[in-house]
Amino acid sequence: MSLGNIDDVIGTFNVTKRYKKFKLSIKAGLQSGVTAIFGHSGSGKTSLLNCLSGLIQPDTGYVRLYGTDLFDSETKINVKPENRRIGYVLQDSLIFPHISVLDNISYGYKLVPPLERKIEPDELIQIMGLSDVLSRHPSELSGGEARRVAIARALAISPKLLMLDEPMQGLDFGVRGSIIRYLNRIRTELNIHMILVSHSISEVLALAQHVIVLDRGEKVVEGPVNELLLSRRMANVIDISELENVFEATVIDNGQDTGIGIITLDSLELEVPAFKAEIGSKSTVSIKAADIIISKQSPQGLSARNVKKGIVKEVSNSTNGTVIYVDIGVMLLVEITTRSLAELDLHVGSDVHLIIKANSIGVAEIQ
Amino acid sequence: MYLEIILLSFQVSIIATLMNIVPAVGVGWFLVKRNTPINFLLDLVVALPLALPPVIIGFFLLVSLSNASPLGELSQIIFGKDIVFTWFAAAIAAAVVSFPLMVRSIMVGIADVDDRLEQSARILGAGAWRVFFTITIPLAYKGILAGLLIGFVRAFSEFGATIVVAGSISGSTETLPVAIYGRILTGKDGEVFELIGISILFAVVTLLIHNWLMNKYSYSGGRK
Repeated sequence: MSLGNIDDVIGTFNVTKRYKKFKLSIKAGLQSGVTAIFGHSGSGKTSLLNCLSGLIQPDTGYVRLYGTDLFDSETKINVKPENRRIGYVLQDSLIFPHISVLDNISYGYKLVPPLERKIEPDELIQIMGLSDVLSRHPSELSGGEARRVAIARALAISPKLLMLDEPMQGLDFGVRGSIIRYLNRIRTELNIHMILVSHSISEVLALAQHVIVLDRGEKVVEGPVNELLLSRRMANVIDISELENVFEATVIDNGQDTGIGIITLDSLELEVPAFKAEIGSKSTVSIKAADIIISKQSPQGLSARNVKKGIVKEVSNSTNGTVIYVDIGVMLLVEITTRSLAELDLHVGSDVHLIIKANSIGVAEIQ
Repeated sequence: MYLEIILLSFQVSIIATLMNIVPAVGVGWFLVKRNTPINFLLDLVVALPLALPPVIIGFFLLVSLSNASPLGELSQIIFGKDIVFTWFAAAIAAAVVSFPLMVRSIMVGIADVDDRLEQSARILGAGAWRVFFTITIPLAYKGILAGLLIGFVRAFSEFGATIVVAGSISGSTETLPVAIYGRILTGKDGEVFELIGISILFAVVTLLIHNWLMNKYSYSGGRK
């Protein structure tokens, strides 16, 4: 992988845009890898992407990418959106309904000068698993397929940056997992830096290394994802009860015979309900932070299928709850009440056991 | 003897519609996609022929095309003759009167195109013109086609402005409605009914074509 160091800055921006009842004013840096823009709906995430892509002209400020000015209100530079070469997947996929799936994918590709084409449509069709849908009419695509076509179409212009606006919005869990998997594939196989707009902390955790948190049009905080999750400043923007641990796991047994599936995340083995996926394949797994029970002693005589020994790595105590990071071979986020934290006397370095019911583990199935 | 009348009516209506296509699509696009201070004024000007009695349109055209006017002089220089009281004057009258209806229909078609599809194309590297021709026009096809047909039907049935600016010259400016009017005045009821029959036939056929095209170019239900 040549994604560069996590600290590499690929761009900077400082944009201000006034609307009637809303003001967007954000200055931040774009890191290599995946930067998530996180915040509630109405926090200005989409407006920010529109400013970066050139669809909206900021009132003042600048947008710089790889040392090139795309916009600068002082020097009056404003590169047109069609000349910015930023891949941007708007919400809802927006496949062109009057042309074929293949023509959709190659729409932008054909407009790129041949010498600057680094990514071929064939390669994208293979990476995004689209060969079976090429002959279909856009109206016959499922939500997940349409999203993959839209991503492939954006990548076909060999973009300098790929921006995704809520790529998992409106998709059910299984498809969500597959999109996460495909995006991780793009990142590793095509070396594309990405901006991911999301209001879901689990998506951010699953994909991004860096996060910019927005609230009411302003930046609250930015930094590495793992550090920020524990930041007190995030308390107002994260709903702890929604926190999920999302992983890509390897399927050891899908449980189609026994009813109990087995998956591994690195060295960790978990029992899960039976699911549809090929043995040996990768699948996305989700465990809600609130569904994990924590115990100081090794529990005996439990019905729960997964009891794992671990060490508390970090404790985050904020006004809206307590989240601790426990290392059980992989890092898991566990939500507990502040009272439990005190009663169990948990602190960094405590030995604990995590109890995870098989039924509380969601596994993305193949569609 | 009706053939001449029918062919002339077609000639006038087709030329009127062809003259209108580009400006109607352009104005329709501008009114839908651009939000400028002059939109309000443009919208009013475009709609005006719809609200005015056609006879007034005819009078304005008569004044602005007569040989004393700059346009009339220009016609004298280019064609060596006046426009007024020619089939071309009838076509211009039909064009002006049918223009608002065409623009309305085309506006509906263009407004139906999701802005974000055009934005997506823009980001993929397409300039404004390419977006217009590869996304907007194909997706607004239904409205544009409907506009052409509605405009054609309106041009075909145009009477008030035509009679003023082109008169009723047999074989030259006598379109179907003008011919019917002339026969009503002279009491030729039999011919009136025959010409009305022909008019109804054309109207039905055009509307059937309209409906067929609307179904054929429907994207909502996938491939048809």
